[in-house]
Amino acid sequence: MLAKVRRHPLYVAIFILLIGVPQFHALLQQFHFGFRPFVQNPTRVSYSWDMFSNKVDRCLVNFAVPLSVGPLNFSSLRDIGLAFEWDIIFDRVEDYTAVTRALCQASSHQTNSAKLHCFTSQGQELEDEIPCN
Amino acid sequence: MKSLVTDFKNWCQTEIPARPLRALRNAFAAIWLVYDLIDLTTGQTAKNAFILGMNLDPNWLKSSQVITILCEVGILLGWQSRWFLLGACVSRAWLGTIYSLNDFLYFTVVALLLAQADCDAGVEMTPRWPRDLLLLQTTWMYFCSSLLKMNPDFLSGGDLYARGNYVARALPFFYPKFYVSWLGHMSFDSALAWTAVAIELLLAILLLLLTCRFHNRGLRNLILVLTLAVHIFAAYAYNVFFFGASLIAQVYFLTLSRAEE
Repeated sequence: MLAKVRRHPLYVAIFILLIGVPQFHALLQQFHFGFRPFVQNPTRVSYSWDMFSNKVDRCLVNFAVPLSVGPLNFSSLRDIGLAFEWDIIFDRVEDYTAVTRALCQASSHQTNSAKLHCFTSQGQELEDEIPCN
Repeated sequence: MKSLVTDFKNWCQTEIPARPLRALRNAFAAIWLVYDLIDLTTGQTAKNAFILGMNLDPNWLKSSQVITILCEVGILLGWQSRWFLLGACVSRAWLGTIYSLNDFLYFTVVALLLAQADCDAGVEMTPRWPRDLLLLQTTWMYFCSSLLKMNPDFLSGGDLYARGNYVARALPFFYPKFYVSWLGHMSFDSALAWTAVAIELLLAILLLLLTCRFHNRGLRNLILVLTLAVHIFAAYAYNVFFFGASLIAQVYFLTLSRAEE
């Protein structure tokens, strides 16, 4: 059986523009915001397909005493989400520190502390302890 | 100019077998249905949004996820699937406006492109242009991804150092000792980074060749091997499963469609 739906060439041309122009614009935005191949890093721009191209740090965050915040109970940041695919992550060590402090504040265990084990995009391994009080 | 317009009109009217596109549509819906069912039942995006401090109404999020799931089931039923694809595209774009995850943005674009193909059960032939646009979309994504990775931080290996070492310690998967040890050396991470950029750029070039110029079994096999290599390694080493699975299915069925022409 032949295709039931045949689009007019004008529909196809307009569709190509609608789907192509925003994506091309997103890539141009990267250059507008300063991206230069081999010289300057890109930033996050929707539809520019910047997977893995932004600078990131990663930290493991473990609490000495399990926290209870809102509906969540956890002793480590990675206990909150499924480790597989949905692991909770941030882009900067400072973000991890800020979130750890905020979770400490929201928890009832004020005598608690958190250990951060971070891997930075400069190739450094850092350890830090944040008191909750 | 006149000949260009005639070629364009001919391209719009040309038809190809619908079977590979139908298989891609089903694989795409099945992969993201699994993703959305896990996400909804275990509340992963909701938890992420809560921890990230995002102003995301849990009921609004659940509604958006349920609509997407119903649309994905509709797509798999294979009746009027274009409307279900458009529904899934809109509901995912709706979520993407607040939670701008590359997975969600990718889903909206591919669902919108697949919605242009007429490949419900019983349809043997479908217009060629949606298939060609899907191939060009895949080419564009690999090209942009490769180009934007050509930056000092990524090529130094720093980015993969942070991601790889974190995943090797955070995930309960098996990582050999030698691999974990190598991850600690920036030269190894830098080699991985240059390899990723090269493979993605090569994939973009090969897919463009396959779309516009010629196709043969050797070219298709090379594209499939490179696609499998990059996405299986990304899943194992950097915890990116669903996006990779979807792209593997996309490349497999689109190149199959080109081979069957």
